Amino acid sequence: MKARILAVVVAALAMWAGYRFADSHYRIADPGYPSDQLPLAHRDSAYTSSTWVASPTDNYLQLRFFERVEGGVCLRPSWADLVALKQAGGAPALPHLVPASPEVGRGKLDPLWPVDRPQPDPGTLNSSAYISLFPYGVLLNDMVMAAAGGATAKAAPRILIVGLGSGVGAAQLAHHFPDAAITVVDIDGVVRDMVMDHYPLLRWLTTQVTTRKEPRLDIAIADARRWIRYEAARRKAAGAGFDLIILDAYTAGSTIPPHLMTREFFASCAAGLAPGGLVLANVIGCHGKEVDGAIVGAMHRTLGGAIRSLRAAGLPECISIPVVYRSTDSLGQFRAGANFTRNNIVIAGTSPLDVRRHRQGWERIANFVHFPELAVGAYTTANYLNAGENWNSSSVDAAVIDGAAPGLARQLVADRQTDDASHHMRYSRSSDIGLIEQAQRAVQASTGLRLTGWDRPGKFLIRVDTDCVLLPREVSRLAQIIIKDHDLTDGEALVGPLDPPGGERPRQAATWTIADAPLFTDQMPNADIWNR
Amino acid sequence: MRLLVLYTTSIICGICMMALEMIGARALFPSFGSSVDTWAAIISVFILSFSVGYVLGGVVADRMRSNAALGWLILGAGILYCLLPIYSLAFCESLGESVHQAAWGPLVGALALFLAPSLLLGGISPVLVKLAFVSADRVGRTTGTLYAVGSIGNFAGILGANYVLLRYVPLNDSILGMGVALCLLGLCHLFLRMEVTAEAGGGASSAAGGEPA
Repeated sequence: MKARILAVVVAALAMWAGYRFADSHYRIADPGYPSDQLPLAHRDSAYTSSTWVASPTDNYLQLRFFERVEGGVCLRPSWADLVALKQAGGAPALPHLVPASPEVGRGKLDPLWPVDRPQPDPGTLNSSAYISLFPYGVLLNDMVMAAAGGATAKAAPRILIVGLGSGVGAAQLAHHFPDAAITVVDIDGVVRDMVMDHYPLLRWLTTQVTTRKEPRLDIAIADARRWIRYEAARRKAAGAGFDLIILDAYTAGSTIPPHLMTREFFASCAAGLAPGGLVLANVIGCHGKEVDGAIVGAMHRTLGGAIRSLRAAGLPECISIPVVYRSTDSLGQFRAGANFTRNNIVIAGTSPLDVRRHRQGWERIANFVHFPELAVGAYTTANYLNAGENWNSSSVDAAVIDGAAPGLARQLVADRQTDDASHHMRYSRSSDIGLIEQAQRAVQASTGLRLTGWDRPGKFLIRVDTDCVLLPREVSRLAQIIIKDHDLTDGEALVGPLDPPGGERPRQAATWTIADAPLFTDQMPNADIWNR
Repeated sequence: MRLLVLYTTSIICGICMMALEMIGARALFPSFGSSVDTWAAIISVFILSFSVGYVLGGVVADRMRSNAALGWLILGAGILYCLLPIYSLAFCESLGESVHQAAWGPLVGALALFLAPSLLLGGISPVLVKLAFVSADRVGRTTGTLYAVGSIGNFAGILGANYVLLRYVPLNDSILGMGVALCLLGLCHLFLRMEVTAEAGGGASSAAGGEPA
């Protein structure tokens, strides 16, 4: 009898403890994040758990999957700001983003919305760097641009995006290509619900149509492998093949689902392309095997495998552009070893894409300005870091320190800006212990919080000023410099000669940059395994 | 010696059972995607197969007199493993769009590919218990150890498939390799005779070894 009572007690305790100490959905206190980040909404699905997190001082709204940042959109300019932008004559600067009435797109509030949290209203400006190169997929497409007479505002591409994320990629394309018909395929309906409920601009876009009476944004919930095989093929047969397929599907841990990175899948993408169409893949990887003599993993095989497999799938013309956007991983360092794990934009098609042989396309890119309606200097962030060995403090809004310690900012020394460095971010710093302690006291006095990394003085006090409008322009400017380095961006120079259709090329002495790029096939679908 | 042979058999079959689950999953992905539907189908079909296999294996165990039945079961599984590379991808492809797009589609694929071989391998568990039976007062330890050894095989099969086979060997070659190993193992049992002990009731029945299905 005693034993049975004990069993009941232990069970009850376990149930209570499980309920009482269950982990929070909102685990966002990782080092390096800004101190003011605010979790807005959270949902779980069979595939992931997703959380919208906003940081007003860092000007972003991010959809994080399993606490990882997968994509972000700027909180400012908001959609309302974009709508309010007027040209000289008083007409809206962005008529394709203006709803018929102010209420349209507001929709009803998500019933799960916490009452104490603000409802965001983000616009189309991206805070994720790699997104900035998505327009290249349209600009490099001769057929689409010729039909539009070279004007991006008149271009009417049909675009497929695999992987929704925060939806910022679709938003950016809708900004620059008002007549684009964008279809997004995502496996997870909960992610679509999160985006539809908390990103009003995107929800509104799904109600709008192009001049061809196609939806400006359509989100399908399906596994991309099946959707592209059947639905994309059906559209191609009906004369509505895709001019651009963007592959941006990731699972937790920056891993590409293996069946979405094989020669066979790429071939089915190629079959869904309209004439002249391109595939643009966001591939997290790197060129080199080693950093400072240490093996960093097999990420170079993921990038090499993507390029080799795309080319083997009937898209032989291929370029790869590493996304470089911070002065700390400037072009000079990239050229020295290219050994950073980062986003690479791989673009593949059937006609030449490199600078030498596709001058026209790269001229269009040179003339293209991201977000031309938005003013430089109007949407900026300024933050302080108390940097230890790994720069691992929370970042603090500059207003906190500048308000309590006027004149401190002027005593910091600005990092030298070189031609190679990106210009949207400016770092200034000091190792003066007096200044560092002054900043610490200001943080403690104003917030009263124990912020990560602010409990003792670091080696440097660093101030980072960022211009959000310049970010995409800088990513593009640096990409246009990198692309001239043929050996680091040309598909053949990177991974070697083409594999014959359906087969593998014979092994030979490898002299190209990524010498051991695997061929991903349905028999060896290992993008997830090499992607570490 | 007798127990060593039986444990070895158990471990090899355990490896092949779970390695097929890991590797076979990737044969379904191109047609059905890698959604949770596909994983649910694969896991449930394997569990179902083992369950049916245990029942049928139990019937076989009660009627058999020697390890020939064990040999037939393993050989049957080995043959199916060897044939899988021929029809696994092609069969899934042939199901057509309506099945590919259905939420239950991967169940059809998984049943067709994995039910029969897993059922046969599931069936060896009761057969091994019968062969390992020495006396009533040791039956607990004997079956316990057999299950433990089989589960260690499962463990090794999953990790081996993940860390070795999936990385370095094409899917078809992995499955074919396991098929060859199972065929050889089955033939060993057919040729190296091992009687059921008298205490296990081996002399009571006259039935020949069994091929279920």
